[in-house]
Amino acid sequence: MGGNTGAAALAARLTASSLIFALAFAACGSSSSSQAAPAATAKDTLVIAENEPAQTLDPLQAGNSTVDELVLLMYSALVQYRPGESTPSNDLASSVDVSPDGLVYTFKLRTGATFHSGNPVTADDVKYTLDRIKRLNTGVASEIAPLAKSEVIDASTIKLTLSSPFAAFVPALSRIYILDSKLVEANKGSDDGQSWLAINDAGSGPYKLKSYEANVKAEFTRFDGYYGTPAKTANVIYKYIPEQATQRLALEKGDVDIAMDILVADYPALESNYSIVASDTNVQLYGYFNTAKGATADPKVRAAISYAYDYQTHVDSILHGYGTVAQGALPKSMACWTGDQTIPTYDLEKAKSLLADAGYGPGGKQLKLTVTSLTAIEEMDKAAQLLQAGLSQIGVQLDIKSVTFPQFVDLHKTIDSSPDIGLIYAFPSNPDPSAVLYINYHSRFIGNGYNWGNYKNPAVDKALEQAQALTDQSARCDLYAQVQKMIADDYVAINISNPKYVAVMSKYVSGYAYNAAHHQTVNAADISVGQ
Amino acid sequence: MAAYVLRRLALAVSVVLAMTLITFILGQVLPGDPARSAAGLNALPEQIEAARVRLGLDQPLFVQYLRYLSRLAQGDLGTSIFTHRPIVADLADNLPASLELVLVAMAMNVTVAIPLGIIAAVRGGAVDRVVRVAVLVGGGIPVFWLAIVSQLVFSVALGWFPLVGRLGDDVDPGTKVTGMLLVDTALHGRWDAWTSAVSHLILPASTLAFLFIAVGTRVTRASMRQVLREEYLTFARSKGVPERRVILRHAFRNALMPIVTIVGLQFGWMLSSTILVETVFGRPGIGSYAVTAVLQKDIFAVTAVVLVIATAFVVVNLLVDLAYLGLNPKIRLGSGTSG
Repeated sequence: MGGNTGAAALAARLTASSLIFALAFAACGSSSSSQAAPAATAKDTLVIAENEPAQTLDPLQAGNSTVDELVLLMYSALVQYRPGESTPSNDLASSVDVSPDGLVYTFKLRTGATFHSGNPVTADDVKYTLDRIKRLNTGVASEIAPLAKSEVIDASTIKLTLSSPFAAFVPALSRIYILDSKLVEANKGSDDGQSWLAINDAGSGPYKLKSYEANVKAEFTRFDGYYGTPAKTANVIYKYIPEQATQRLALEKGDVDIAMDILVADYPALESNYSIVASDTNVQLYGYFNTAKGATADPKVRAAISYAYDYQTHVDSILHGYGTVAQGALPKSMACWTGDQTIPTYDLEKAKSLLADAGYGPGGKQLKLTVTSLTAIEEMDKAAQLLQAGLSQIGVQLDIKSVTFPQFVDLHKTIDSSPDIGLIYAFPSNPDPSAVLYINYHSRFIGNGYNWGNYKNPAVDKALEQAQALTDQSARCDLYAQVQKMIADDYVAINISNPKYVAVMSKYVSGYAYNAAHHQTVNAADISVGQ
Repeated sequence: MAAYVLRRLALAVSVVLAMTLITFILGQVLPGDPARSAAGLNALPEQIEAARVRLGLDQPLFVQYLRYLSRLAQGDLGTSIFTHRPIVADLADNLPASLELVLVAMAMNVTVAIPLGIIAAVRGGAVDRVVRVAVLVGGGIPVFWLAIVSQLVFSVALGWFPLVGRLGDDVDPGTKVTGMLLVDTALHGRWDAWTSAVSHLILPASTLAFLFIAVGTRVTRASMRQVLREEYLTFARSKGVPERRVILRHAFRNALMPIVTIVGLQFGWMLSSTILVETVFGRPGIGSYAVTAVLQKDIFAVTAVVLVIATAFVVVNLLVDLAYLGLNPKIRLGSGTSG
């Protein structure tokens, strides 16, 4: 048909103009944010890329690293761990006095500390914070469960009484960030300030909150009235970039200075132009057996499986060398670790013979087990496959089930529903050994805490309780050594690896140091950016 | 016509109500215990029980559902177990960002797919073949891959567009009115912020639109081809009507119904597809909020999000149904079936 040019030409013009329209605006817009790649961002701002946004800014939830990394900048606690230290230093507290029975802790507060609002930090604020935590009974409340009472003696003295001795009480206080009581009280609404603190700042830390857009970015600016060493960089921005490939692009473009979630596979490409900072952690990957039910209730089966895991391949191929093989239930980097315990190695012959002793394998029954792995955690995914491969070589069939963390917790509510093997990390909230051994191995936490192995050993329970109560560190270490040995003899879990924590940053960043007491955070106040 | 409109409204309302029941039931079926999520990782049994009572989860299901409905009627979507904020507040932060993205993507979709489909149908021959192949290829490209590659090419290599976010770091968004940056900045005459917002939208919106353009083009082409065979077009031409008017006024206008239907459905699909684009481009939105809610077993938030998306879907399709009134005189005049 003739006359096609009319309609077609119009359509073509429409298409072309919309494209040009789009590009024109892009050109205008890009001038405000174009950068010569990869240059240093402005020296007065440190930009950090993080993949998982915080659920809230309320320090009540600082047990979670995504909250902790932000709260650490805005708030102070009575005591705090500096990067690299395994004992806490005084922060808001200037001294502590512990009664002989270990039940009463009297803290004296430093003078001259103020909150960002200008209100002075007093014992009332400490009491307010602790009372609120107890009232809400969630989040960090479990860190200070033995705390029974807090009393204000005077403006700079507070007396804390425990219901039972708790050796790691002072370490635990490093996660209890002190709130500006007057400010929170004025905004407490009907939920004890939770929805207000979710997006606001009531702290006394080196940085104050400048702006917060949930799931997008959090901006901080230096607090000039800070009682301690002023922060080195005037501004900090945490940018939430969920996709790891995009974090890499942002680093290469110069949009961010530190990227926290770059994939291991990308390190070789970035090595020459960026700093790949790998630090030892107190984190450990375990495969907890269900020690109370099924085939895994037999210690010989557990031992056999422990000898069928290729630990070195895990470190070399899965972690690409960024980590070490775990040495027992307690990470070797923590105080009171003992070498006096049986540490399984990759030995298929030994595994087969142990399995045969237990009645499984070629001569006996066929063993079929299930392992759970957390969805989208690459190390666990591959560990499950490595375990599957190893077990198939000794005639054991292993099914892999991918679950989310809430599902994992749910499965462990009862002994019957717990999986045969569950892959899980332990992230100790402070460097005290009880943060691993007591929390994961005391029988009171079966079904409602971190005792994923459903492990009940009265001798272990007793030793753990004693160690909780003593204050003499060497006596505690003796007890913990016994505990580690007993746990090793019982093969409660496959102790897999201690992955290193890796942050990739531009070469202009200096002062970064990993803090084992605050895993997955950045010590922004110590960092400077610039040539 | 009034009967048609009323029937459509009644249908829309009952669909939304059914959605509340379905999402409520789905929330119960999701594995994981919300009381435990709310109480926290290290919670002791009494803390979990306290959380259960506080959230009203110890009541029978029927009671929980009725409470839920009555709060809904007051505009209260509940409090997120995860963020501890009212869900309405969470959505007010997240939904406008997704809506803005979807609206711009939809605009791109319509301005590209429709002309492309018309050209393919009218020109036929080689042009038609090229368009069909392009559409086939375009429709098969995974959104996720396209997003990362466009970041690599247009942002990192060429430097034309920003990499992530909704606004430049040093740009102040100004006061929030609707939550949609393009609207709010324009309302306050802040054109520097407006251009920054637009430049941050180009890549994510075009990535999101890509797949839908493929479908839109195909539907436009098919519908146009059908109409182009009609005899009344021959009649119009024999009357001496210019070809342009024949194509646009007579053919296209009558081809619109299937196109409008698909575009209406695509709006809902786009809203649900925002998650991948938002993840790669580091933008807040309903997609990432929904994923976090599901992973954290935050049943109140999950139910709220599904309800909101379903309602958006229903509203858009209601508008499409009402648009039929304008497009098809048979419906307007009350003759024929429900349309």
